[in-house]
Amino acid sequence: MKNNEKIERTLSSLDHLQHADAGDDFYQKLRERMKRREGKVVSLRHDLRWQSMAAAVLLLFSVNVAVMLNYSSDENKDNTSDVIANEYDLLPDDSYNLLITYENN
Amino acid sequence: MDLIKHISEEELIVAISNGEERYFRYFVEKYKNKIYNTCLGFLRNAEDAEDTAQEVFIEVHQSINKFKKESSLDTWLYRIATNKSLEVIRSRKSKKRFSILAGKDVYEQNNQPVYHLHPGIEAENKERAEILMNAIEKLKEKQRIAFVLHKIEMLSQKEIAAIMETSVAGVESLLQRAKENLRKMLNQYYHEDEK
Repeated sequence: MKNNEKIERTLSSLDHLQHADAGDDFYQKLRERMKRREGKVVSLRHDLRWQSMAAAVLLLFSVNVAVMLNYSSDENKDNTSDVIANEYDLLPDDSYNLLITYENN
Repeated sequence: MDLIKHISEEELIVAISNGEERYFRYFVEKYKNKIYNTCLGFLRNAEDAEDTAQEVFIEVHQSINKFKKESSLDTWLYRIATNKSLEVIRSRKSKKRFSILAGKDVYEQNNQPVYHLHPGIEAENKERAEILMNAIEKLKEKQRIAFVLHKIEMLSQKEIAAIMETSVAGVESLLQRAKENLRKMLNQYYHEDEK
């Protein structure tokens, strides 16, 4: 058989093709797939709800801790020298500077 | 079911949108073979074709409210089926590319689809049809869509034009180019086969 003839016969090999059958249980399988997917979406939403609540609590807690740490460190920075001066009957910073200036003069 | 048979396309769409299951069932039963065949024509694997056809009906169920009635229901369905099938083909290609890049020979062997011959092909044509299907797979996407819808679904150029959202002349040109390219590929195949 010549090549051209083979090519033409190959090109027409799909002619008069009969339709394949999707199967009697196609609808049943489709419903099952839809139910599975709906179930997945619901459980995903459920998981996401808990996850977002946990994330919100964690965020709130982190913000609180950060604010508290910041506040207490500011408080310590401001008062540390005064507290120590009071405790040991020391002169405050400004009085000490005045004394040094007086002695030098 | 007999009463449903006399329902118009518009009434059917409204009933499905309202979530009436018996209408959706009627719709699926009416179109399942057409959609399955279209998917099988593109994918050449019964399991993938069934999965994809089911995805088509799920999409219809979810988005029938968005159906604009600019085209017929058949056209809309074929369009979804074609797009879904092409998505599967693209995903197969990217998986194949990834497995080659990653050098995963085992992955490639296990995940490549097994091509089945369309069950509607006459016995005497099986060998030639397989050669033709292999060649169709190498066509450019638009040529492939037009050729598969024309040869396997036996749709008219007008119907194909509506599905592909192009003109009839455009489809005619795509089919012509597809045939030319297939002839070239088959010529090469038989030439090499002779050696």
